[in-house]
Amino acid sequence: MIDLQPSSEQVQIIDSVAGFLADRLPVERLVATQDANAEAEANQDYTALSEIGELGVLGLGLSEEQGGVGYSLVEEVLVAREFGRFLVSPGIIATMLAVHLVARPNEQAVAAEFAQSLQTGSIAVAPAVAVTSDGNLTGSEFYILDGAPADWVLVVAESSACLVPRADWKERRAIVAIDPSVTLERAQLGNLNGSHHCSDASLVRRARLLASAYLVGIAEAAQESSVAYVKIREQFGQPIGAFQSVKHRCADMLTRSSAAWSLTLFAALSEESRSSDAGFQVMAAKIIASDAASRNAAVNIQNHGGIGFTREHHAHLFVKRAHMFDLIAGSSALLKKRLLSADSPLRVT
Amino acid sequence: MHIEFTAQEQDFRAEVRDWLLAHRPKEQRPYSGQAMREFDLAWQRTQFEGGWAGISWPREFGGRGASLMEQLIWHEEYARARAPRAGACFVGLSHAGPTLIAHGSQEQRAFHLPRILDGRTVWCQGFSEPGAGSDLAALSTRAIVDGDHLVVTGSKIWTSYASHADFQELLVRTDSGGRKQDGISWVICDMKLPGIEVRPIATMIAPDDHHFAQVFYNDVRIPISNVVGEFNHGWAIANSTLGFERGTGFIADQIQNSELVEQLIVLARERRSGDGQGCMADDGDIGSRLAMLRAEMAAVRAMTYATISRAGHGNPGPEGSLVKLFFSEASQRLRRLSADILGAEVLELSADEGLTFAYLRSFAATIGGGTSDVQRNIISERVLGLPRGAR
Repeated sequence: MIDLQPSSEQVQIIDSVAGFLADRLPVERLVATQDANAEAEANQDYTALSEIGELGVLGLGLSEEQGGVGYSLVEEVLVAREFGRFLVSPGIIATMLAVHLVARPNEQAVAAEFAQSLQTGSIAVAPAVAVTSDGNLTGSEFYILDGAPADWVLVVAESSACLVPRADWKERRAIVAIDPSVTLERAQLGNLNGSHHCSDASLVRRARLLASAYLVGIAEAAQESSVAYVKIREQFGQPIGAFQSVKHRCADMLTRSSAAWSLTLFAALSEESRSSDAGFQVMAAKIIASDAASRNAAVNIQNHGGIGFTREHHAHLFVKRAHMFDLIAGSSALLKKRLLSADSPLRVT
Repeated sequence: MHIEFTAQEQDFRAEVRDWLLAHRPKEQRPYSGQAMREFDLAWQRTQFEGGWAGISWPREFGGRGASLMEQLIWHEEYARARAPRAGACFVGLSHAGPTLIAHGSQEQRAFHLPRILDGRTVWCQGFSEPGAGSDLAALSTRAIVDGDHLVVTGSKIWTSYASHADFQELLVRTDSGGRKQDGISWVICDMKLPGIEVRPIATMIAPDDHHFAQVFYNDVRIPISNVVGEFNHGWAIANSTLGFERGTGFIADQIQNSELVEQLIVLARERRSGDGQGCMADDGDIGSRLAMLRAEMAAVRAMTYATISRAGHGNPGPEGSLVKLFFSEASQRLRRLSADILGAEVLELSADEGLTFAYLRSFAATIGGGTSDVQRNIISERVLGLPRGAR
């Protein structure tokens, strides 16, 4: 039996997270004021981290024996999509991943307490992406994404991941980001002495899936923003959504986000059932989701016209976040190369 | 949410696979002429004798009565076994049959359904007209009541398999007083009636590829008892007919396209790139497009699974247009890529429905079964709720 419809329990999880985010972290929070200094303070996400922890979503997919909530990867994917819709700090996805990284069996000594602190949101984690991808970790330069208040930084490489403490980064300096709603720093990874390391490919696949889900959230939020706007914006005496050129762009937006969401769910279920083609489906999902997010974000600006190009409208943030999440856990450019050389899932029955 | 097959479903898959491998035609399907009709009907007869005809039709009407999951498995195995497409039998099995089951009279069902199932009759569609394509409701082929007959005058176009068909699902205007959607009737038309003239139309593929035709009706007398459903209420019936087409009917096509991506990857690794350095697959542009299409075909499969999960029955509603739009555009890009991998050999028309033949046919993918523009109208107006405007 194939069933991609959420159960009533899963719908409840989605609704409770979406309700919290709509109330506490509406996307309008990120809209820049005229005061540039206020922008840096506009990001309330880290202050909301402990509230998100209280919702129980940070250890959602961790088994109860390991101190988690006991749901699965699928529920984490459902939640990550909501975080994408509200452009919640990328730190939230890094924290969800870090919970699984430290709860590995070989990390037993520190695992329980550390994982617990991560789940309650009392320890903040930020993701980092390599400045240039030569595959090396130590000695390489990274961008730390929205990591100003973070205690730990998560690096997801192609076949491993590591959680690096603040102290192990060298020459850390602030950089002006294209995305004004996050902080950006450049730093060199000094050593891995204080790191928690994990070379389990399933954690990399989990990272790709959560990033895919976040990207789907961006694609959907951009589409919904466009549809709401073209229903009310009038030109030539009628809503612009009545014009075929505009409505067809909206139809394409929905088609892209729908394809990306179906594939992300299918890939998550493949991973959850340990299907031999899970790695293939996960890479395909991230490629399709990244494409949907970046194209929908661009079309959303077009649909909004001049206002879409302004700083005071949030449309540009979808574009910028789509770039960020394309880079997390493997860019589309890289994954396309890997997908082309992967075994065909058709040989598997 | 889950994607695991039950033991029962796995048994069903094994049964389907064994039967298809043993019974599918081994010879190449002729792509035109009487030989094509005979080939398609013979394959349909074989499926009927094996108990597989009308896989989605309810058992009480002679079908297999398969569940949606079983239909999915059937179509997956059908594609893997490289069984030939339904061809001339497609309209009867996927359009006319389901429409008669839903709206036909006892007599209409009793006569036609067994003949469709056991491979005795070929059906064609009579919907589009020279002046009514995407704006189907503007159709003007007229039917005037004369005693217990309708007298039909006008013309239909883009009718696939018209030269080979025994019957036609014909939409005619029986009242022109009100809205254009009102006053349309859905009629069973015997293609051998006097006054019907079929003029084959050569497609852009090859001079002898008469896949479709224009059909002319000069005072054709059709018994009123051939009207399906209510007189003047054929528009809703026609829409449900089109809905069947957007259900599970394209799963085999989707899988064939997934297999084509894999074949093209193999081909691109065998062929030298344009500058003679390395293979085509290592070419950045070709490689990137191959990878994207691999991902897109995976997405098509997942979308189909999502549609089946949502629908719970055969007719997916307006959301079916999302899959149709995404799939037809991706498959067109796939065929275009096959042409690029062929290099200069794309100039050579293969006589055996090879890659160039299929590439040329792919230009129809975004026109037939509702153009991509119509799909976008359906999605934006019926799914997203955008206002209807001037077309």
